Amino acid sequence: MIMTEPATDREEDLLEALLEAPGLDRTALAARLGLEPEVLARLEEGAAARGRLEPEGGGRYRLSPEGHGIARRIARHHRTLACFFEQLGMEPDAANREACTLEHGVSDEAIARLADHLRCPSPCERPCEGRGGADGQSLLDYGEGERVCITAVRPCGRYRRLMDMGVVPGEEVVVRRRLSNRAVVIEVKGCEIGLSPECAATVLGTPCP
Amino acid sequence: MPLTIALVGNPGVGKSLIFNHLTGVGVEVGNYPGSSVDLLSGRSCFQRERIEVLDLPGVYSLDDGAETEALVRRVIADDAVTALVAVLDATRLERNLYLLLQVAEYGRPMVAVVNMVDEAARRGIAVDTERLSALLGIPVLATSAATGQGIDRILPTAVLEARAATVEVPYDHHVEAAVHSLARSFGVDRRTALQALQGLGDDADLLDAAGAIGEEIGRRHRMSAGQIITTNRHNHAGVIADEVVRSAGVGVGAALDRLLTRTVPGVPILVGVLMAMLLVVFLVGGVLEEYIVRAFEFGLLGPIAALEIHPLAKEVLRAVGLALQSGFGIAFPYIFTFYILLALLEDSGYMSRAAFLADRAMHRMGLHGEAIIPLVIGFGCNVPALMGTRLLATRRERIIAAFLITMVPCSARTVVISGIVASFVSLAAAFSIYMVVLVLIVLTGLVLSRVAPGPQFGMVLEMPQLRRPRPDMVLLKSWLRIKEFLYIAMPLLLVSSVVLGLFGYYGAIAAFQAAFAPVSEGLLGLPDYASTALLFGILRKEMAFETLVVLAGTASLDTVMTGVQLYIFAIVSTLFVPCISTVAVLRRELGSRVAALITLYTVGLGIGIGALIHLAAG
Repeated sequence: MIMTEPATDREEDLLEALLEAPGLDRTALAARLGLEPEVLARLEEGAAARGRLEPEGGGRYRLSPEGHGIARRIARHHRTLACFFEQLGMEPDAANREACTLEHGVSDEAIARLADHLRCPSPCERPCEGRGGADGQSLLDYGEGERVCITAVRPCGRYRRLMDMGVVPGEEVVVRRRLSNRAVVIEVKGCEIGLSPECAATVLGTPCP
Repeated sequence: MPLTIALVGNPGVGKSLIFNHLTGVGVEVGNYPGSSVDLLSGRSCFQRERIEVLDLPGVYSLDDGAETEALVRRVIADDAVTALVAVLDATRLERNLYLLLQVAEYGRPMVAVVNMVDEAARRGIAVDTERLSALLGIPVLATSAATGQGIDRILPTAVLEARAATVEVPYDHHVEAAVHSLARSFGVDRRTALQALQGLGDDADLLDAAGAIGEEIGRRHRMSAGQIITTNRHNHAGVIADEVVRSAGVGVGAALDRLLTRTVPGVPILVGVLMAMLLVVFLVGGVLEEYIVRAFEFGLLGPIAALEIHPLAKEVLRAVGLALQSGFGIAFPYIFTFYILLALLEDSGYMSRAAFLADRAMHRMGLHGEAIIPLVIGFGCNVPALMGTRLLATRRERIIAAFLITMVPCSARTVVISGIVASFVSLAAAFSIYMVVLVLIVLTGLVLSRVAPGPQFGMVLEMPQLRRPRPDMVLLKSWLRIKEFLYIAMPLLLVSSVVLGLFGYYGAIAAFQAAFAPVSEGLLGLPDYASTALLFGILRKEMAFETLVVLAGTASLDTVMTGVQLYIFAIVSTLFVPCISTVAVLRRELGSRVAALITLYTVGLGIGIGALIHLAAG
């Protein structure tokens, strides 16, 4: 067993995929990595031989402690780079693709310094901007008495509290009143809660049938 | 080790009322080790065994990063707690079950209490507690804390029958797979893995791995792992509630609510309500205080003065007597009156409407509408108001609110304003002090929001239905608040009064007076002894007034000072340096630096405004 040999980009992608999506079957895993099943099998055998994977039975592998370490390192690279590109104004998808390529070559030190520099906010610390979107209109656009099926709650601002109050995708709410200052009172799960305009703008929904 | 039970539940489910029923006297406000969030604890007895009862702060969820939720999580996980009592509101069972499902995941012995069954019955809602008990796997009691129904069964059930809940939320299969993988790789339990997926926990490696998995789940569902977990829990709570709740659905009219929540007439009504509150406190407090002060004069201070003992002992006794006199002279007439009015507003459900009405104005000061609640509480006493800032979302907002709260004229400052300005100058002049302070508060807020700009996160508040306040609830709430004041402020009052007495006895005050005379005479145009009175005001605000009377040698202050001097004295002592209890709480809540900054700011502001008025008045 050669422990010191650096992992190839492909092998790192494999380890990362196993960390992020445990329980994928082989076909889905191969599709996710864009590999032929035979290539995947060879890759797995190689990684297992280097002690980064452990056989799990049924021809499947799971991460060994060493493999886990590598996978976490690469995932951290990915997140930091993607955050960086998004802050530069790239679309999230493009930022992700770019991060996928660069995550293997970049050094841990560069990532640590970049992360310090960026202080990538966790989603709930981001203030919200914009309203409406592909998931329907925001609560600001509904009138009193209208029933709204929640399709999405943007992960920003006070969304944790909103979710805990029962404002979750799939829930049906009723706009009870519109207050001064464009605030909205909705009825959800038998309780009335008031949302200031910033928060109401983050809750998207479609009219209930 | 005594048996300990902890009450956990959403805000406003009647936990405090149940706690009061269970414990009666001997309630302590204390801190849980390693946390600055207050925890009420009290004692009770069952089968000759002492039982410690903890009243945890009301929360909507355990999976929130805030300090209060962290405290609740720690107490729930603490093995020293023998049993948990989950208090549910029968009228909002589904949302309350959401919290219970989270608590159940800790696997601790627990019972559930479905409270407010009387209120639910009035609204045509019935809860099948037997079925609920079967579904959750724990004993379930039906109670009404307002009438006392079923309360006597809580302790026996919690002590003898509490057990770990068997209910389990069926999570999305990707979440289950992730939990499984994390639990295996890191050797943690299901609950820890679930929390890690939501970014909660101390283990950096676990959080890192969970973050990576969570992000992947998020990409596939177009929903974060936290959102999926939350949704799954809500759905399961919904399934349970559907099985146990029968509702006839009685609607409630909303005409009054409409009136109160529109800008017009909502905002004028809000301003009117607040002004009326202050006026009532001012008038009622002034009358009642006189009686109490006189009673103490005859019953305590007179006899002490007549004692034939060593002068030092006499000085200490006199200081204690004075502290009691002024403590009760403020606590009951002013603070208690204020708290009753405040509880009336809260119990009627008006405060959350007020928060939305004030939202836009508060934005300009870098705050949200909900900050109006601690600001209003500040008129009673700044100490609980500062503790109330915990409900604000960010540290930045808490600091801005703290700055503003320490400028709000509390009851003790009301005593100074009414005792000096209203009595010797005029009622209009007294009110003008409030106006000046109010303008300064607004200006401070405007400046602070510029100096420390930050994002506006918005506000999510429960809107309880408007209802006629219940007298027993109002009295209970006011009583709990005043009790807190007596426990926190009274000891400080006694100690600082004795220290002051000793200072006076050993002549330290005269030295200070000489040193501070230039500021007092030159800058503010006040007699030199006024500076000593101002100094005493740091220890206890209303002492500024009393000391002034003592040092001036007459209760008829208008014979020794001009109207302008009295006005300047009152406004400076109102603005400058929050009292020592407030500074102590500031330090505890926001740290020494912020406490020092606020103190310095108020000193500068007080002396600056005083000097300006002196200049303007020539």
